[in-house]
Amino acid sequence: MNPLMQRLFHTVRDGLFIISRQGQVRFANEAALRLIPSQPGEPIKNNQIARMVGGATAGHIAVPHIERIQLGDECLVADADTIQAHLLASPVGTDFVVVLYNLTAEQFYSAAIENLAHLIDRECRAPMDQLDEALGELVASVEDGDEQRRIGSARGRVAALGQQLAEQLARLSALATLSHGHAICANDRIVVREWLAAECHRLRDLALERNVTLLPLAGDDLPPLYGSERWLGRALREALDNALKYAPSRSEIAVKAVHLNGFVRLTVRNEGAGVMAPALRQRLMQPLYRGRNARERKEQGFGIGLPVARQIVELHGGRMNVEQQVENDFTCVIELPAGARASADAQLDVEQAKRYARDLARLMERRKSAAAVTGSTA
Amino acid sequence: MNKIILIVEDQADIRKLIRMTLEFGDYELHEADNGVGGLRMLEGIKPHLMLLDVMMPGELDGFQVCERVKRDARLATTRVVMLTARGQQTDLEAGTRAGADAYLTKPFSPLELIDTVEAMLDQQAAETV
Repeated sequence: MNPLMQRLFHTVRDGLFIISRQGQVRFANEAALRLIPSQPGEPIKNNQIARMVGGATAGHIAVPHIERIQLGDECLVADADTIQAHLLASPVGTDFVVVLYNLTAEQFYSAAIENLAHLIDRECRAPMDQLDEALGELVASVEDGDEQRRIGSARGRVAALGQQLAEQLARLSALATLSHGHAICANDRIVVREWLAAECHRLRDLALERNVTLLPLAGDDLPPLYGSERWLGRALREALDNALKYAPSRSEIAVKAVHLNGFVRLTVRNEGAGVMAPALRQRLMQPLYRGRNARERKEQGFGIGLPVARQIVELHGGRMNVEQQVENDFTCVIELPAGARASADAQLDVEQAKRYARDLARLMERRKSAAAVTGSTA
Repeated sequence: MNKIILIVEDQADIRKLIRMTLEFGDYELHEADNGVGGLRMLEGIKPHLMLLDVMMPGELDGFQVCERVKRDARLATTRVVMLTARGQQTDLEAGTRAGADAYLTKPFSPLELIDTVEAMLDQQAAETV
């Protein structure tokens, strides 16, 4: 393989082997060598791949063919124990191409989410259902009408609380989903000024109900943000929702955006927080922590909103905290990287590389023909 | 005189592929890895063509750089090709507003790239004659 093609295939993020019909490695890119260290000219050091190639050569396996393979101790990547191997015909010649996709991280997180869902179901939903059932039995066993109505009303309250609990658990589940970043895959271009105005508008009814004014303030010249508009909108709304809960009636909540040192700094500032020690302010960002205000005022919630927001912001490469400069002044600060995120994994995938390789080969042919014509003319 | 092309793209691998492809032609190639760096380079060179990535980290994304290039009378003949990962309608609209001359949707092939570059440079040459 010529050096140009080699350079191209080394930029592919997935492992890529080119293997002869006799099972010898002709080429391995850098990602493949991390998974199965190999030498050109030697047999592939993985029995399953060797068997796949042998089967395809003998005609027992039709290509393209996909299989999960196990990696041994020789693998240089931590946790890459099971991966998916795709056997394809080489775009040039009679060799085979084997592409290796590492599935381990995804498998791990899917299992974690499944476990969490199971835990929620076992620990919370089942006891609520049992309580509801027990109250039902109690209603049936009481003969006095007033008592029946009283217990029936209690049963209604339990059902309503169960519903609230389910909503909070859904938020908790969102937090878990976010914890492995799979939910954040969008790259929407967000024009900050328009976005702030739209999110404030969405909470207009709640602000009216609380007799509070939301004031979005952002300049035209701010850099755009790139990310999931849906999830970032949720993060901002959690911050706004928190401010709306504690801002006194007839007060204003200032929602500002400025550009600062490569970040867009969003601040949601409200009055009415009292005084909060720095350590306690940081705890607001921890799941299930509730400040004294929330407990005293019996505000609904489990203390999940701000942690979810922080998780979303961090998954976008940003940071979030709360500040208090003076008594009764509370500011939620969200800093997000200006522009798109620097991408560490911006390499080509195999299909792109194959397409690029074919076209490069054509270009090289074109150049050779042009050189030949020039040579013969000279 | 070789035509001058400025590549503004934050992903080093994509820059490498573009350079690799355009080295087949007689072009003078310049590179920047962000919008601000690209604009700074324009103080020293006057490219015939810019290949400008849409999504870049930092203060300016591709659309904002394109807007500034198109507002600069000194660069009135410079053609701008936006490199976009998505080809969505919203991107096309934003590019049109910014004054982009053409788009290449990633992953583009070398032939697409060469064809677009040649077409843009021919157009630019015809206009400046």
